Amino acid sequence: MDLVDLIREKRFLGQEFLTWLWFVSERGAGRVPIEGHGTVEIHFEERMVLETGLDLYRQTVTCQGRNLDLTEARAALREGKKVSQARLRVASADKEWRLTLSADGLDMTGVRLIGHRDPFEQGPEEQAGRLLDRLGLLKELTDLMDRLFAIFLAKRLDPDWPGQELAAIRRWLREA
Amino acid sequence: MGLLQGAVRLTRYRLAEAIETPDDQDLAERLRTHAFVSIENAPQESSSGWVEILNPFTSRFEPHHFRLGDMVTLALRTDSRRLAPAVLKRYLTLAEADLRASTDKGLSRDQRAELKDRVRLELLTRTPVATSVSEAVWFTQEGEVWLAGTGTKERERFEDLWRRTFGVGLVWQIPFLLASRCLPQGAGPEDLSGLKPAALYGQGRD
Repeated sequence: MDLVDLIREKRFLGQEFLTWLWFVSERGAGRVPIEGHGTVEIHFEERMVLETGLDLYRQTVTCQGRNLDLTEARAALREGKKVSQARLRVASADKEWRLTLSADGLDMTGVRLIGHRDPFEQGPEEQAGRLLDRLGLLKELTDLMDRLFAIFLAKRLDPDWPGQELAAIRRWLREA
Repeated sequence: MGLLQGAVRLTRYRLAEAIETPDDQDLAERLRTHAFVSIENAPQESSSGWVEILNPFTSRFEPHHFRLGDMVTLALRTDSRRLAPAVLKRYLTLAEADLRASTDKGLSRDQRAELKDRVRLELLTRTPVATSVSEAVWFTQEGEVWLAGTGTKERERFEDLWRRTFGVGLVWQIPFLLASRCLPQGAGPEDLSGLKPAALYGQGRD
């Protein structure tokens, strides 16, 4: 199967990951434990896109706003739509990031490294240092997202998925 | 905007196959071979090539310019000119009128095509050039590559130039491929490929 077909056929994995991430974030009031790492904070905020169908039949709902309570997003989930893009705030120890995560390729856009100040000096050494710092922070973020994805995948492939995590997601949606 | 400052857009790749990382001199040669070539004084629509990440106007590629520990840093620079169709049409109409005035006969199809090419080239050299730079990092130990960009054309240009430069393709790390690298204990590739979408709400497939 080539990459284009693979993206089409398996895009639900990214959508389900984002939906699961939203669920675990709400379940833990924004705190998600990662074994061997500690707790990471995940907050869904400002903007979420949900969709159903493919290509010409694709329908999307965009929920946006500063104090978004995501009620409409939950309603869209209940109608069978899945999260395809979400704006997140992620915090771990003293680091914090804001980013938009897309389900298709887990692309990150609008990634902001909160609290990281660019040095005023613009010499080559300062620039190289800044690049190194920023790459380190981005690497930490991608490692965190990979760990979260691995946790999701372990649950998704677990034979108990329907009776446990999926049942809990459905309960969360019903009660929300 | 990008890896150096501001908000970042990120596409993650892995090398299509494991390769031995070229040494710094070899890397430098490869990068110089595919370095950016300016179209400032040439009647070309676009040009893409590697530049140094900290200075997108140079392509010297001394190892200390691209090597950061286990990382290789570089940037894809694309210069392009956009000639608006309406502008081309205007100048072509004027040039055809001039040519007709100097000959009794009408213009042949070949003459018209030749004139269009000439007018286009003349206009291109007078059209300002726009520059875009997409930074990239190769984590050589992990075989992972980042492009600070998510546009479709940007990705295609990057993937193509990467393949021509290093002789190995890049595979975009979509969720399925990321999943195949972090399968939990006891799960096999067949479990992953057999996975179907779950009905997250209501009845349906689990």
